[in-house]
Amino acid sequence: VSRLTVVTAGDGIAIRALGDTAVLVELGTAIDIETNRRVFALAGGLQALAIDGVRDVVPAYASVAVHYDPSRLGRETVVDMVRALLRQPVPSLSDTQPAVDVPVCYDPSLGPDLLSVASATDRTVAEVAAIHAGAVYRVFMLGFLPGFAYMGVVDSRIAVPRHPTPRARVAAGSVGIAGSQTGVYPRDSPGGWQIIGRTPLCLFDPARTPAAVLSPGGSVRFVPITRHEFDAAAPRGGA
Amino acid sequence: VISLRVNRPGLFTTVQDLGRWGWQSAGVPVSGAMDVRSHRLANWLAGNPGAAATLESTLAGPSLEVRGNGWIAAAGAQCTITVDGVACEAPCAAPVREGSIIDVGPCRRGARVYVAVHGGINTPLVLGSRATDARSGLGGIEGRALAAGDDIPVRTPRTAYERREPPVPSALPHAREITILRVLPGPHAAEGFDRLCAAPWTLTPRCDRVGCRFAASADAPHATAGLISIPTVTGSVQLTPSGEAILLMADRQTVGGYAQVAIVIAADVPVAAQLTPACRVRFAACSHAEAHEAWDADARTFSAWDQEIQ
Repeated sequence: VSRLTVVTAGDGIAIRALGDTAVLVELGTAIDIETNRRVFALAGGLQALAIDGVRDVVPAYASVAVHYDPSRLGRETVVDMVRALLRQPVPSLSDTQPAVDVPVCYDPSLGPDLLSVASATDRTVAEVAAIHAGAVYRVFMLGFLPGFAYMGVVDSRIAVPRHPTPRARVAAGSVGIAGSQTGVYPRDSPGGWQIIGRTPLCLFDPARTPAAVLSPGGSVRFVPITRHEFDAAAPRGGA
Repeated sequence: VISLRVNRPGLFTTVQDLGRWGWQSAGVPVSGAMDVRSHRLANWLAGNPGAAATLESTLAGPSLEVRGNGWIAAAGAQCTITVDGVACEAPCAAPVREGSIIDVGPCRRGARVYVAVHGGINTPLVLGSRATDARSGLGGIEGRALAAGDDIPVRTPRTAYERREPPVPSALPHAREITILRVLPGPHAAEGFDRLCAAPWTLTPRCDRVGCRFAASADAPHATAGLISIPTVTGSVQLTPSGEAILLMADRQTVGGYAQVAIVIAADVPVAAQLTPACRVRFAACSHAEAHEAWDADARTFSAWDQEIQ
């Protein structure tokens, strides 16, 4: 007896119930750009349809959740919509949005793990900063906190693992590395990522449209700035 | 009622509504009332639609001073509400006037009480909702729990108040009994759905609006670490590598990396919201048909209540 009510949709895609109010579409089981582009295309397609009864569409690394109101929409209808969208071609790379520039001050006074990351990877602070700022990153998904973007792929030369025990407080704007992922803390919070710098940018403000600076499927470039530039831009007054 | 002044905030009291839907793709938790059924009942008794904002208190309730005249109602845990010294047992409604003191007593059974005011709490909408998400700092009063001295604005009611008879209170969890929560298999059911359902679990004191942690037992399944993060849903039961079970509640993160072995059906999430530490829970497998029937029964009640208010 199949308890999981899994519907396969070819290409190793599985569609299954996520409880009685959501459907989970799994497009893969790994973090890779090709899978994530299909995630983004499916989530975008579902959001564009703006179906009555769909309460939320949530893209993750390799899966999409569709939260629905069972009083207005049956699970079979949701599954049918997903299957129809999966048959459509994924937009080519040229359709993606331009990269967002995120200014970062790579200074040990703002990046408490910068010196230890440099020594662990046998590089200078300047080299760590140059490698981190030298790539264009993809926003795989948002989560953890409003506006927190999980981005990749971090150059293997500086891909240090997260702290075994999270810090009690990481400052808003902190830029961190966790293995092949990089991210920016939108507000003060506990956190375990290796903090190598800080941005003066406010990444999430519910009063602004859009509220989040970064969005799933987008791309990001980190632009190094000096401590002086950081202080001039940061309304919080820095460290 | 024009506003409520907080004399004593209680243990953890927040403004809540039906949640901040539509923003999970930006990492914004849904939040909203933990026990939606009691939130809606309090609103109905106060003459409000179910979507109006209420105050959700936890274990020890607040003391509030009223500005203006009108009606309040309370529903949820077993507890005594006094208005100017006159006591009533939740679920109940009571008239209030300028200077009235509303005192929400400690929960004798259950964990959360909803206080509704005729007209509805009128704190600003943030991304379409008044729900407080304290971890994200969104909604309610400055994105936090109530503090002494806060002034909570109330909307002017659009209809005259009509008194309604409170229904018989629904059953509440108790530490001496085993509470049944019905579950469907989760996306990682292979990591221990059967073993999750095999024996009762005990709630630890680590339970809040984000989730309820159940103590690991000797034969508890230990889930795989390092799974790729997938979206979560309220009611998800995650097994951690250390053998604990975490039931995700209203302020859950939108995505998570622990194994989601089971999902408590939506109709039983309000029951989970009333659990207190040391309560024992048995997760009982149920069918999608049963889950849908339970959802439908609630939905019919809620829509009948809302139609009466219109």
